[in-house]
Amino acid sequence: MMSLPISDEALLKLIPQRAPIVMVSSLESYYDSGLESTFFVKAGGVFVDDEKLAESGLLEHMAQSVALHTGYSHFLKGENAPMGYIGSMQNVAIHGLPKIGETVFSTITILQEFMGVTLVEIETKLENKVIARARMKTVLAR
Amino acid sequence: MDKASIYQKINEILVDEFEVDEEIISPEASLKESLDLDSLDYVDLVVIIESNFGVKLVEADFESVVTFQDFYNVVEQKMVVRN
Repeated sequence: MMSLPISDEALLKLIPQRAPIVMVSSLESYYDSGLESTFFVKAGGVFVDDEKLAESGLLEHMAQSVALHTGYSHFLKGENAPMGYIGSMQNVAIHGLPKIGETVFSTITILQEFMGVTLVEIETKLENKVIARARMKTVLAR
Repeated sequence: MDKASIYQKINEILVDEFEVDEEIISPEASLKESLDLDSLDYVDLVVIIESNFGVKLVEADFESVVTFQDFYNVVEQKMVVRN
């Protein structure tokens, strides 16, 4: 049994992504309708541009946080993390980007799951200030 | 809320959510084709019905839905059961 928070190698059992595309650093808390995750921005990351995490990297972090929820829920059922993809993104608002050496903290809230499609809201904070919000639909690969 | 009011409210939220002209909505028209629904859109449909009518649609509810009238019936039945 994994105890929270989960990070490093244990975290990789919960998501299908592998380095250098892993954009979550820890699973801090989990509940049926959401979770909290972190991402530490390292120098040399593929999504790092001009000493900051690029917007695309921040969105990928948000998507992987959703994947982490799916992966952990499958882990609790004794199943492997499934593959999935982003179906759509709506209401995306990015107010800031973390620099190298900073850690963002994301909260995902599952609004609805229907026919393999999960609708979630994601809020990302940096030092307790909201820097990004998005609504996303993710789809499990079948 | 009577049937006509339910149908009218459903039409209004569908027009707003899926950005279609109200003229394309008729009881016998195909819900999927008229609204150009893909697999991602159904979750939106579930969300807007739950937020406007307080009832939660599940996958099985859509098995018999072809037309708008079928859809009205499902929502109406859910509301009756809830009450």
